[in-house]
Amino acid sequence: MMKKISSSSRTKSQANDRKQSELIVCYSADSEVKIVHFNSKNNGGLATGMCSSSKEESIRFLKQFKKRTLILSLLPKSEYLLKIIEIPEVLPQEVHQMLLLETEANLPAEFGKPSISYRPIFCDRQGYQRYEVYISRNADLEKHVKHLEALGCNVDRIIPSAIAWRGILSNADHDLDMLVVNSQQQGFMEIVSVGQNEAVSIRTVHSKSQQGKKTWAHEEALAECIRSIVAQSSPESFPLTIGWIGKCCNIPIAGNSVTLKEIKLTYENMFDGEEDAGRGFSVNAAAFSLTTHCSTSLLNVVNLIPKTILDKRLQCTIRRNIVGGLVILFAALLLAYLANEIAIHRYDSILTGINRKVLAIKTNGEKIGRRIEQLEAIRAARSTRNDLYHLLGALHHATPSGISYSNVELNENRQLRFRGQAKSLALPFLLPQELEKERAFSGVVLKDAGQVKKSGGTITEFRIECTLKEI
Amino acid sequence: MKFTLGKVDNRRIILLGIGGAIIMLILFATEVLSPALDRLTVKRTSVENGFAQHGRLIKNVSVRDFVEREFANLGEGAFQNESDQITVSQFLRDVESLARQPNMTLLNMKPMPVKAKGQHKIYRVRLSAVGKLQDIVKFVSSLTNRKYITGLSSLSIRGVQGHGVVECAFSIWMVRLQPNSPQGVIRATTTGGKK
Repeated sequence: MMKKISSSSRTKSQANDRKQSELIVCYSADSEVKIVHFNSKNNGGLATGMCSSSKEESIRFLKQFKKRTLILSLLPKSEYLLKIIEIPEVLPQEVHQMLLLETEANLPAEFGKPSISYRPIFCDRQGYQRYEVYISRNADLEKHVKHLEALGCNVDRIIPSAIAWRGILSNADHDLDMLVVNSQQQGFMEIVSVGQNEAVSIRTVHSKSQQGKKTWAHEEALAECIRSIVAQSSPESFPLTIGWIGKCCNIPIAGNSVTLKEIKLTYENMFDGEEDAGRGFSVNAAAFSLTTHCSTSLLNVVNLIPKTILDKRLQCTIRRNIVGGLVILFAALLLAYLANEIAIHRYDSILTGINRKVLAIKTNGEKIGRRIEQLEAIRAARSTRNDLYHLLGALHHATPSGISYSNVELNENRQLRFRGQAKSLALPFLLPQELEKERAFSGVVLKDAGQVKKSGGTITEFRIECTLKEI
Repeated sequence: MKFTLGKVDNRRIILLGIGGAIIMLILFATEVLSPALDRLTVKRTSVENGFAQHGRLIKNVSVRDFVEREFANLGEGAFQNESDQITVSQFLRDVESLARQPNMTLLNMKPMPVKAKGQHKIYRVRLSAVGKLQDIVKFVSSLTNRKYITGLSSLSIRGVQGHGVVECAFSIWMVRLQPNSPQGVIRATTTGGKK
């Protein structure tokens, strides 16, 4: 069964703290879970809800929303205690531990291991801080989470109902002194009021006996609550306004000190049918309140989800990531292997083709290749056969009178070395530029030139190096 | 010691599983993937070589007519029909006969080891002669422009003082083609070695 309604609601933004624009709120009752998705950005507010008794149905419903949307579980007052605790001012990171110690000291031993969350409230005592502490049994919360998981809801936060109802009470549009949330289907109502120090007072009144029969005790309890709040209020504030969510019942109080106001939320008809409307309304109102009145930081500090559950989830995530990583790695290797095999197959077919082509021209091609190699050798030999002629011709042409050579050397790398004599020291310096003009020589370098005594006179000796070009 | 899986806690089972998976991955990578990559490299090299060979052959075939024409123009002296020893002897005899000139004396002739390069052989000879420069030039020119395919690899000319002659040492090389040698075999032999 899946029902959908849309509603618009004006939301007041508080600029100092970011609020979740989208939330999913679950409320488990017996074998079914009510799930409401509220999106405050959608045309002023769109609520979509369903009542599910099967895991598959819930998962199917939740799949239509963003994966990152927070899933909250609304914890009814019957499953947690609310205490006001005052402690000396401590560092923010130490608050939880301090409150836990304080709570454990005040709880009876048979209560078991508690899980706590808190909300700071106004404190007029210097050097102290006051907190509204929500206390629940760890074992009960684990059971609660498991029950929700079995119904397909993996909740991120467990939020005490007081937080949601406080949001509605603080809404200036309603101007309420007290709020009554009647969960008729579950057979209880929650009566909420906010004290002068911002502390929330919340009480559960059962409208059914343990055997499921209707009792009148709840009306008496309700009357007692109203009397109490009337007694605490000043006469100027009369008549007091009592807000009502759910089906209204008779309030046995006479006089005009109290007026009733039914909280009209525009998504009242979220669930089709009268029966479902009653069942889903309180969750819908809570979703609206948590989205529009509670900041993300508040939702974090009032979260009652036990650490053991978070640890288990973390372990599960790590395990899943490791296994997933290994699977991906294995798949990648397998893919690489397959790609490799495909590439080998491609190369094989290319090689077959090229071998066929090579085979067709191999005999002729290789024969010609051998002949080309032979012709190359012949060309190399023939290119040097006139080297002496060219060398001497170029030397004869370039050498000015007054210079003679005593030694000429040509090595296998075509490097030339000349050694000679000149009549004057100036002549060897003239020689390189004259040799450079010849096309047979390149890179002419005068290595040294100097005068030596010989036969009673002096003679200039020089050495020149250059390269003999192929002509 | 009896070891049952039931007694091992969940964390150890997971660690064992992960360890096993990692070992399997390593084995897969080393025994399967790595040899496959090697095979791919071999195939790729073969393909590249095949393409290179094909390109070379195509290029050879495209110049076939030119090569045939050039080859036909080579004289009989370009090919080796005798053993290395006979070839060298004939060449040295020829050199000696050319060197018989009145103003030139052949001082020394030294055959060097024969080098076989693919489809041809190179015969080197070092010579030294003394004489007038023009006679030496004439000798070298006639030696390198005969029926043999020869080249000049190095030379050294030194003037001899007071006689108007020069002493010349040079090295020449002769190329002989091998018409029927095995394909692609490179052999190094000496003049004293067997063919």
